[in-house]
Amino acid sequence: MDLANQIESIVGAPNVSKKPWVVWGYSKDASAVEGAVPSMVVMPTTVEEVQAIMKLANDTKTPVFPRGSGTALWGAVPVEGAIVIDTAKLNKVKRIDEETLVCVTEPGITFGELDAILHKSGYRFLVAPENAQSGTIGGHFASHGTGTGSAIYGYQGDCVLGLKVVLPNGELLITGSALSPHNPRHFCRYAFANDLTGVFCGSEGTLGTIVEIALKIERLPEAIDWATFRFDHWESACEAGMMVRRARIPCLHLFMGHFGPLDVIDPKGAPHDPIRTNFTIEGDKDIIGIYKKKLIEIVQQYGEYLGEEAARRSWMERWRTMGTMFTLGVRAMIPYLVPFGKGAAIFCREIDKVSHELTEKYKEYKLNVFFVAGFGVDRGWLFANNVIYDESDSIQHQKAKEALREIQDKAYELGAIPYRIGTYWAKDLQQLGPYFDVLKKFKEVLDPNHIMSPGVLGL
Amino acid sequence: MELEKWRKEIYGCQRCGWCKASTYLDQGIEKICPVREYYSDGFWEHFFSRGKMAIARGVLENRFPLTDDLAEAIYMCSTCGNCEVHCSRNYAYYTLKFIDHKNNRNVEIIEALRALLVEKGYGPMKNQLLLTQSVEVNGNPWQQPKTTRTRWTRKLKIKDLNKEKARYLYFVGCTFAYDNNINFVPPKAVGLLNAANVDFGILGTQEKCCGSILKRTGSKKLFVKLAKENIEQLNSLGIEALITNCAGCYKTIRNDYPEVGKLNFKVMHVTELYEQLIQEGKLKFKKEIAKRVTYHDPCHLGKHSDFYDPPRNVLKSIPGIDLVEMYPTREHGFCCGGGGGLASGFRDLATKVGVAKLKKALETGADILSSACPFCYQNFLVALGNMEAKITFKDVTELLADSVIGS
Repeated sequence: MDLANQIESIVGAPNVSKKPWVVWGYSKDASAVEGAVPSMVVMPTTVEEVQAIMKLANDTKTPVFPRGSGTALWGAVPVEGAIVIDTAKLNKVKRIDEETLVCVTEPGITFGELDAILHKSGYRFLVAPENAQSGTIGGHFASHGTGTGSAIYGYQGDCVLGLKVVLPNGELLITGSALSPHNPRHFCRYAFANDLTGVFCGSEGTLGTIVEIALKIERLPEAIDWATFRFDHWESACEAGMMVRRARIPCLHLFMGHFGPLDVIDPKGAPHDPIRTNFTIEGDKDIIGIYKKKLIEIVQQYGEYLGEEAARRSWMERWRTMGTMFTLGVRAMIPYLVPFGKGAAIFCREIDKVSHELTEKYKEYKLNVFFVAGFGVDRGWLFANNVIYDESDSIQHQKAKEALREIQDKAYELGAIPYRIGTYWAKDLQQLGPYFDVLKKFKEVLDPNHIMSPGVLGL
Repeated sequence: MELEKWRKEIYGCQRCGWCKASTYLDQGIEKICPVREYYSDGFWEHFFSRGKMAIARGVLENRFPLTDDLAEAIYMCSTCGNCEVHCSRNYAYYTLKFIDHKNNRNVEIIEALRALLVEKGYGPMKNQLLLTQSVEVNGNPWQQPKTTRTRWTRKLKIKDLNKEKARYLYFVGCTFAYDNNINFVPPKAVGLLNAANVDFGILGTQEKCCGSILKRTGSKKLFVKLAKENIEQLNSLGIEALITNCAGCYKTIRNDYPEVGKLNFKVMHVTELYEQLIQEGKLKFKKEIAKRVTYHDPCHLGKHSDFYDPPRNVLKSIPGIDLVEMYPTREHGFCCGGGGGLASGFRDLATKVGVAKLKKALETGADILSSACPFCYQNFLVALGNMEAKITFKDVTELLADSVIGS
């Protein structure tokens, strides 16, 4: 029996395909990287099926790529002959524990779907990506996860209390307090010695297939309010964001938009403020007004208050904001982190300048290289650069990848911190000496046959 | 290959997956793609738009051969266009609003793929083939003789535009003309037009299918041939406007025919004329209809033609009617499952989608679900037969006639 037949016997014929036109659809993510066409795609419906698939792949040394929604922007694409495990049918919410404020869910559910379920019970998750509508809980956690909510709650990794992971040999690993045979409830991540949950956070599918995640949830806030400010300089915008964080104002979303480049797309429609920041704050009804007053007092020292409407709309459409400047073409995006402080403004100015220079350099190929700024994440910023190109033109596509590499190198040199690695930052990770050696050792222990997402993270 | 025409749009897919799933509770949006949501295996990429765009790209790059099962995946789509509405390419970052979704061409791309499949012998689906062959032979998709097209006109005196002139042509369309379950609607439309002293006529047995079914299921050559014949016939009538209460005919003649040939008349949905007649005081209400009504936007009218208000305005003007919106609404409205060849190709799936939409209508507390499309009518009748629901379906024409004519 060949591998496909064996997998079919595990998951049933409707849940596996090696048809060329089917597997072709799983060869790419949302990055500019052209992946190889996998040998088959399998859609397990139970943890046991995932275990059997992984064991079989391990025994036959077949590469495996777990997939959430295929929306990674950093080149997490299959290699030739790989099995793609599509987690779309592992999409059930297992339980909502209102006592411990934990939601235990399978990884394939999208944030949008989970939000609908939680919302009806009066709860919410804490951090969701900009592409939450189609992005999955599993995919986001596997790449650390930032987005709306990050200004106050940090990374999605910080909001996860435990996991169930199928290791390459098919064993099921449980992390966190739910491991207890006597009280298997998720409420503490740091139970039973080392933080093994953290080992899988950001591992991007290189160590195992996540099959269950325990997420922190909170009650829906009593009130939400908004404020928008315009700034003339990076210094003032960056400083204002940092000061709001320092003042411990409960800012759910701190979105700093660089609108200058959007003039290229629509000179009439785009706001002409160089930089705008939208703040969304949360709190109880009786104190949110105090927070807002304090927010305005702080930020008005740096920029002009424009009222709440733009920020309100930005919040309402919070999962559609970033990277939606697609009328010009396809977007390749490189996100990275920059810490709060004076260096952030210097970084913004420099990277914006370099972006303009690259647009000029690649003028012949009609590329648009944008610095789009980004949003607050705990103690720093998540910024991003976009390269907009026409993917139907193979030369432009190639040049876009080159431009992206150039802007990425420059950002790194200027102090940007890579955090979603994929294949984009793999080479940079490999230069990190002992750190990368330890990553490799983890990999060798958990995945000695190197079947899990080969190439991703440079492993 | 027609697909080449859409190369930029196909490669322009950002692969963001918004067409797969989006939830905006405040707008009542919980689902995007009817096939992804209601087909038992709809989780596979190729059952929602991103995967279909990937297939189109693969076809352009000659990555795989065409096959029967690939064809089935391409035909398993109601071409409702909700994926176009929710496409991220369509979203203006700076205004945080959706812009003109007609910049997206997902529906045209799927139709172009179907045209290729027909050309290569993989399409249409078996049941759809019966319909397209019937259009060729009988001038209608319902395998009925040309002579019975006017069965609905019995006892009615209507101008024959083959013999005399009129201001408007009432283009009935095959479905309202032939389907015995719903062919009581055209006489009501005639009653309303007569009540308002509108100068109109019909083509009787000389009316031919608009070709919508051909266009939607990929029989492009037959469609172009039929459209040319129809354009010649319709242009010769000297009418000011063609009016129809078929959303499919409306979309096809108004949006698709100009690609084939120039029209010398305006194309109106009948509800647009009703609205005008009500405003001019030419339609007078006799009877109150004390019912709660919710309106379903047919995809051919709404998403495809940006036609949302006239049917609502007509319903709102009927005394007694309490019109309530069913969310998601207008361009975000979910399809009934009856269009794009889904009902003829995949009956069970179309019913499931129809049932889901009916449940949405029930949530509004409405007594009546109304729409302005014979395909929606057909599909909702099937859906109603598959669930116990205290709701009835009525076309806007029926409700208006009930109030104006009293029958």
